[in-house]
Amino acid sequence: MSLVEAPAQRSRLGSSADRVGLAALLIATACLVAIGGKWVSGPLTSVVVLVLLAVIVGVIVLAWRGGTEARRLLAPYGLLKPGMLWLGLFFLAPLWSLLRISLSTKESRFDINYNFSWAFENYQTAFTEFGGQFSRAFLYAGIATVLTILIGYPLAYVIAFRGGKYKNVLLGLVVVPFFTSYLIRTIAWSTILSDEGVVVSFVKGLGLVPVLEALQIMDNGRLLNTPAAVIGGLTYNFLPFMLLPIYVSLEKIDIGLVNAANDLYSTNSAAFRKVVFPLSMPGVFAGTLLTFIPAAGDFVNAQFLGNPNTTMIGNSIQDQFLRQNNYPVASAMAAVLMVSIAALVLLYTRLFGTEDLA
Amino acid sequence: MNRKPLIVRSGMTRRQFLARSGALGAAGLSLPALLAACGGGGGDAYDVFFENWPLYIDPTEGETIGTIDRFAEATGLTMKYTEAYNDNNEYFAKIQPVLGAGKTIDPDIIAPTSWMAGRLINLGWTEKLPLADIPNVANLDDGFKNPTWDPTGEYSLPWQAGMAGIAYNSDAAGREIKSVADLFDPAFKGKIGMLSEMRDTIGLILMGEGIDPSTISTFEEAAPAFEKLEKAKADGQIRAFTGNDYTDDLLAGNFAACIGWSGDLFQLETESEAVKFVIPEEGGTRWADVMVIPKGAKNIANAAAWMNFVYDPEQAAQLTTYNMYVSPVKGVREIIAASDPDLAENPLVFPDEATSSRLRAFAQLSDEEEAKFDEAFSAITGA
Amino acid sequence: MQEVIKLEGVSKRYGDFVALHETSFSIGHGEFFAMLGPSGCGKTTTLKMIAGFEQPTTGKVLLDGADVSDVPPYRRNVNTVFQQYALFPHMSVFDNVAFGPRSKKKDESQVRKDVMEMLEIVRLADFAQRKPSQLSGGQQQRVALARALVNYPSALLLDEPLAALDLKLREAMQIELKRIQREVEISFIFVTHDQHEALTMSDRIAVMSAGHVEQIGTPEEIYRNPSSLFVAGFIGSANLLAGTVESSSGTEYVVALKSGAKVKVQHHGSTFSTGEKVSLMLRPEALNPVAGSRGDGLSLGGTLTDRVYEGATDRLVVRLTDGTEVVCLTDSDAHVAHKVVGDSVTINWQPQAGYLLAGWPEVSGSTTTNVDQIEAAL
Repeated sequence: MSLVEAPAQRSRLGSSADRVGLAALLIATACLVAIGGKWVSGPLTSVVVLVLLAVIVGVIVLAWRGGTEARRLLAPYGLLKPGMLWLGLFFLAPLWSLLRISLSTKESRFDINYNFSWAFENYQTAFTEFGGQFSRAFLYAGIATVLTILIGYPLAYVIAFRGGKYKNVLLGLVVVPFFTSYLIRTIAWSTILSDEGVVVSFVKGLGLVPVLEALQIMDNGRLLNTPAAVIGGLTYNFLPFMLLPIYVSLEKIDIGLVNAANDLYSTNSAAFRKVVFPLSMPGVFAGTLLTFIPAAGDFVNAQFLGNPNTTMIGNSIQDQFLRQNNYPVASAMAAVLMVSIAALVLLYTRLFGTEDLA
Repeated sequence: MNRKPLIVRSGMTRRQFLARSGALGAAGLSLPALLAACGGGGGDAYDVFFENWPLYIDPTEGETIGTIDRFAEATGLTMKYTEAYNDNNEYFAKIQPVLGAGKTIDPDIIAPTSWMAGRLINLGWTEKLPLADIPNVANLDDGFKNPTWDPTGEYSLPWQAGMAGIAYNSDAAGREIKSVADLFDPAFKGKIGMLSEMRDTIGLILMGEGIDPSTISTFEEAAPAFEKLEKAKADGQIRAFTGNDYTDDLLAGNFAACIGWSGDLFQLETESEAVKFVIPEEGGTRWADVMVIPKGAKNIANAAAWMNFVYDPEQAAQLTTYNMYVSPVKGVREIIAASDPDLAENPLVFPDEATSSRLRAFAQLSDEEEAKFDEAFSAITGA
Repeated sequence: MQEVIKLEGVSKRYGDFVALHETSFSIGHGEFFAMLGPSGCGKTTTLKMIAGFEQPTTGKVLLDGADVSDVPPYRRNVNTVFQQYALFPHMSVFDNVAFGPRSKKKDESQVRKDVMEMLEIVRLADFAQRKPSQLSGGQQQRVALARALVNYPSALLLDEPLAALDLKLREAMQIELKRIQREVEISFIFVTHDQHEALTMSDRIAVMSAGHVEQIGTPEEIYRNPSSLFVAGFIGSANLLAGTVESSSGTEYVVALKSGAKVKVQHHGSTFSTGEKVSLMLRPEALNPVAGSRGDGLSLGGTLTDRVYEGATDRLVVRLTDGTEVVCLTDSDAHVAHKVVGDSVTINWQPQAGYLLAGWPEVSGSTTTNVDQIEAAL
């Protein structure tokens, strides 16, 4: 693997620069993780910091003394540094810390120190006590994702192909509500859906309550604090994350392709099925990830629009972290959530991956 | 009782503020914007720093001089006052890493709810009060002496107290609600609210079960209340576990009935005549928010001056007229009787013997037992 | 000749803008028909109406004798090669070409056979499994062609199909297109703004301007006998000299040019009366620069102002005595080879080389030296 694109063939200098650069990156990353993850403590910390500085300074000195060619070859590694620092400090180190705590125990509830002890029972607790919240999170997020596609796709389609000069206005209208805080918007829904509120009165007036109850959208004559309200809230809140990527991928589609399909004996609906939809799949794919991942970890909608029987894993993690002070179990839950989402995403990529698309 | 809401001012009520900030706080977000809007403490130069629950103190408005300004006038001391204390558990989560590591937090005084104060005292995270410098401590109401959370009374002084009972919306309920048992009436399926504060909810259910929450010491003793709550939740009886924002659901008719706090009544009844508050037949619970000085606080002497100031009955009376909670200071009732006889007779502000005898405080639990209670409660609230 | 396409009084308006004035013409079976004109002349609009992407405001479009004015594109037996090819990027070359036959629900084995046969014709059989993005411009162009031709339409419509290619490739593709057209024997209707392309490839050309068809004819007719100043200027290069008819007898005219010089013209076709304003058209290749004055009515004197070596020919710019610049193309080894810029020269021509057109041009002289004029025409 080479980060440096050599014009003709790899020079000996080039491959040794790669080795030096990569080694420096790996050492620097390890140092950062060690510091950020509280892997080391006391005087050892200063040693690690010194190693980190030495590596950075060393690469700079090497590049400087090595002349133009060495500078050119080592420059990419220098450019990677800020990104690596960022990743190291704000992703790898917290992740390391999270995993460590998830395998730790505390002597007492209010102890601030964690003893790393390969405490896999935290994971056991996460699964046994919160299995319901896990499956609910994935179920609700999954349904909400499908709903955002069903609502967002036609909307994006109309804006992209029929929006004309109003395209930007329409896109603006989609985005404008989201200038308001996420919380305020969600709480607003609890007012809209309340028992004596407009929507329920309207539905009652139309005599639709039994229908909606049969569809499990209403429960005992109410809309608020039901699973449907939670899913609805998720759908509403994540709609733009689905709509915008779909819009972007639709917008890129040359209308000439639809004409070409028409010209080749396809009706408009066949043209959509065979040309437009396949070409918009990258947008649907991106939108699905952008919607499903945060929706599965969401806790706001379940908190304000749900009831005690609709809590999602995000609520449990938040409660364990912020109210129960149970960092080990909370960390284990967060780790499980992360791994299961990663696994689902991987599976999804395998099934619907779009990398072979031009 | 037809009092005008003294609490309504500056376009924002205590209730609305709590609903809003409670929501934000519960979501684990910070409140800089809201706090900035509320003002509170001054700049960096201060003589003493008090971090309290929101809208708990009378501000200076027109002719009326607020307590903080009166304190400055009387003592020459400047107080920094913030309203960042929103939730006992969350505040604890915030200060634990600091106090636990032997460092100090900025506030010189905080006002946790009594059980949390008890926890902080047990952990050794609070300073002894210089009671010798607080002569007005003699005005402490007898009912608050030697409390369970601070048996020697050396670490805390109550700020304000109140009671938990049942609040209901007579329109949504369709009838009068009198007992804890009514909360479990299947007729109200999906229309009942409970508080996310474990002691208020479990305490009241225990009263309903005929178990005195002030005498329990183990989880097993409280188990019937947890079982009852668990079943009600599984049956869909309970609509939500809420914080201060229960009042919104109550006013909107989403809750037919719920557990509520006495101080909110005054605000609620101005908004809807349908909303009522009762101490249930089985009895209600009592709580107090108490002032403690965090370990290592820098301005202990000035904190003592403040405590002495607010334990002057004249000063305490003005606070009560503002926030309608139960004052822990003797002599307040007499002062208020002179200007507002109605208020002086209100048993929710000045509980009479009959009312007091029906109220119980939640026992101070050991760490291990408290952990069991919290865990069981958390499992039921589903969060 | 069997008519494949017939336009009867077809016009197209967009609001107040007239894209195409009432137009009628027909295209025969197996014909290579070009619509030529500057952008905005209505040629693409006409093509779209034939394809079915636009509906005529008035008139009828007939395909194989049947009125298809209201038939949507997907039910018209014509296919289009789009300017940017519009290949489906998510499909292989094979699937692109198979798109039409599959839409027609043809049997898959038949589709396979037809597609491969067509890919053989366009010489892309080896690329069947590639994605369009993996092909060069010329290859993409041929895929677009195969994708349209595999349906064996009554007519193939090509919208500036070579515009995106560079010059060398364009010239090679012109030959390739002609070959393929002969092989499949399908009418090609070809839209272009490149007069050279139209001249070299077409059986007939419709020269269009500002929503009008100016002239329809074979390349030679259009080149030799343009019907208007516009056609004369647009097709090839021409020297247009303003003048007035002084006298005429039969096909012999004497024209007084604005410069005062009198020239003799042998003109067939339209007639002009004495005193009428006319333009004398002289094609550059018909002009011979010679030394010295002739005064026979078939020559004009001037000064050599520029000389460009173009390999087989020299391109000379001569400024006439009244300042008008004309261009002549001559053999490199002609006897004026020793003339240098600034020398005085005489240009002369054969009696039948002159051609008269009604009216005066905006600018007298060569149509290839005035940049503004050329730009305006594109």
